[in-house]
Amino acid sequence: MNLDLLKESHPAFGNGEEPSWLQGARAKALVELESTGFPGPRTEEWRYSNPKHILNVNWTLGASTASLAEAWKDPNAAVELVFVNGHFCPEQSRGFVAGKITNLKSLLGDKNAEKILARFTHEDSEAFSALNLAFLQDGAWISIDRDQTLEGLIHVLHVTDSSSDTTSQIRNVIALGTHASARVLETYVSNTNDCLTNVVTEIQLADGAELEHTLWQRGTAGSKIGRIHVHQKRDSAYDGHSFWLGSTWVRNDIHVELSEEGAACSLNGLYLLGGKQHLDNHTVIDHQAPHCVSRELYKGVLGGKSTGVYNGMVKVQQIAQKTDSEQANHNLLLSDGADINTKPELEIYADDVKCAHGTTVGQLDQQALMYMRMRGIPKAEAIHILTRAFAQELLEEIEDEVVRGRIEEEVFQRLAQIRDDD
Amino acid sequence: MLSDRSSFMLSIQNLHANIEGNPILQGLNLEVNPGEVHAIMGPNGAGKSTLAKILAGEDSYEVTDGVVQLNGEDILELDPEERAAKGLFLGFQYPVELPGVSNSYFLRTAVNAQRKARGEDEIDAYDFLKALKSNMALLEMDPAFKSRFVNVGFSGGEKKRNEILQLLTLKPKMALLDETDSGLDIDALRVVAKGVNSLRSPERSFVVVTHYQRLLDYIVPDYVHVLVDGQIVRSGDKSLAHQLEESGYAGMEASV
Repeated sequence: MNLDLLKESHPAFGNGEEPSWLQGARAKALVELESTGFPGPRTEEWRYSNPKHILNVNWTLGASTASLAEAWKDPNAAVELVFVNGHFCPEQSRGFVAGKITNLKSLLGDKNAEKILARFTHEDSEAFSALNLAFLQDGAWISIDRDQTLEGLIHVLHVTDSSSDTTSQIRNVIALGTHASARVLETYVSNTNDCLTNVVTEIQLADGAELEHTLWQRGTAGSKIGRIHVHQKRDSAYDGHSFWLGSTWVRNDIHVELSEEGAACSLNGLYLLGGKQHLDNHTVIDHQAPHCVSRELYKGVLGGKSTGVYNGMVKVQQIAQKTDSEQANHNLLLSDGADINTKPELEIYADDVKCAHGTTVGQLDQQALMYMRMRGIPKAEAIHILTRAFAQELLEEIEDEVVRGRIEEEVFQRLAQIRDDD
Repeated sequence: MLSDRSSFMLSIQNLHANIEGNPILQGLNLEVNPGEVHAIMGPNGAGKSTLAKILAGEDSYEVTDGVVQLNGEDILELDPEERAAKGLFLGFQYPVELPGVSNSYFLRTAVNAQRKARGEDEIDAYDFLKALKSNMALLEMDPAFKSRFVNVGFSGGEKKRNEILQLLTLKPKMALLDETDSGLDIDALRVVAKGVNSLRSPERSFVVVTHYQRLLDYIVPDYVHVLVDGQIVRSGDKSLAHQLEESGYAGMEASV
């Protein structure tokens, strides 16, 4: 990666139009990035996901080609924020509310919003987050006032699609006030291998706030690095789902802080990999207060020569008595060449807690296949039914029926592809 | 040298089979006419379950010799799903769990897959549910089992009932029941037998594999065969079952 080249392609470098705090933040992030450097094969956190092939490319920022978004829009959403190659496309978006549900850049003049933004942007020490801040383009800003319940779905669509080593540097902010609630669907699309989407999402849930947050990666190409920070206050609930239909190379980090009593989070993830695709899910759930609940279920279906990584850490701080935590990762390998590294981790400093974790790696149940065939179901169909059943559990967790139906259809298609891959 | 056997529902001639090189079936012969119920009894390890599984198409056994015909057609080269579509059914001794697959979805998929293979139209969804409902009522099954995952969390008796539910719904021409009575209390046995007997007809045949004579009081066979060391060593009518109950299998050896 050539940072100078990236600078040249970025409008913020070389013009002084941005507020000084943001210019300062960019400069600081660059200095940090240059001093720490990018992770390599000897960085423990990146052991199974060497970002070499991303770092070897000379990325530049791409053009806003709004027409690329058309095919991926969601007519059922009440609000839709569309970004192409990191640029906000107002003509493709609808239902946005100035200052509340809009793009990040539109807030740069707003003093209150700036305060919140500044708070979110000073914590980055990790290399790709520093890169994200230094070259930040735009992103979604979703702020829901206290006691407000948004009935309709908010859809945030990010398309990175270009045939010339294009990267998007996106930052999303979702902030829910006390007892506010919302449903957000984030879609990430890339259809060429020459793209890198680097996104940081900051989520803040005030007392009693509830968020259903679904991530849906579509298209089966490109690279993506994603980092989600969830900060939860008292009695708030974060309900996170992610569906990864397979990209060339993906690294996801989710970091949840249950910082006050009664907060609850559930993290569900499904990843479907074929060919030579690679995906790494790193999750950290940090129980920092008593009586918090966390549930985590990740499932993977891997075919071809794909590789997957699951690393799930649950931390229970000394003060976090009566923690209730369950964590599981199950993997189905459809081919001999597929590979998964799975590692659930517990770090417990409190003594009155309930923590369970488990992980499995296996092939399709041959007895089950034979049983179905003896009832007349052809082998290929039986395999499809069993892999679908494996994935179904995670689809059923999505509360929004329309969203569930649409994702389900694509998950089933993708499963059929992976099966035929081998 | 083979005579015309197309009038038989099932015809097994000189069947030999191995598992991992060990001979299990050693020249087994059996002929079943349409409408007949045959019971196969025998000591543990005689090859009863192996026979049932080989007939249904289990591929972990190696058939080394012999012919098996269903309605005059050789089936040993057919896939299990093809045999099922031609009307063969095996009720499992140990039914398999299918997590994430609901009972009614599984059954409807099986019915339609068989119909498709036979060149028939898919079953009407309403007709299917109606038939499923009445079959469940006959077997005294809680309607909730319709939407539960196949056999997941079922008791032993519930699993056996579920096998008979599949039998009733798929309506095969040739049903093999492998130790359907094992692990059943007398009430469950009665219900299971009621289900099987409701299907008896001149066009349908049954081969009932069992270790105990008890089942045959409820599903009364036309013929009883004794399987020892991979061969049928004695055949008779239902009185043979009673005789076995009293004297056991001692003295019945295969003539290898």
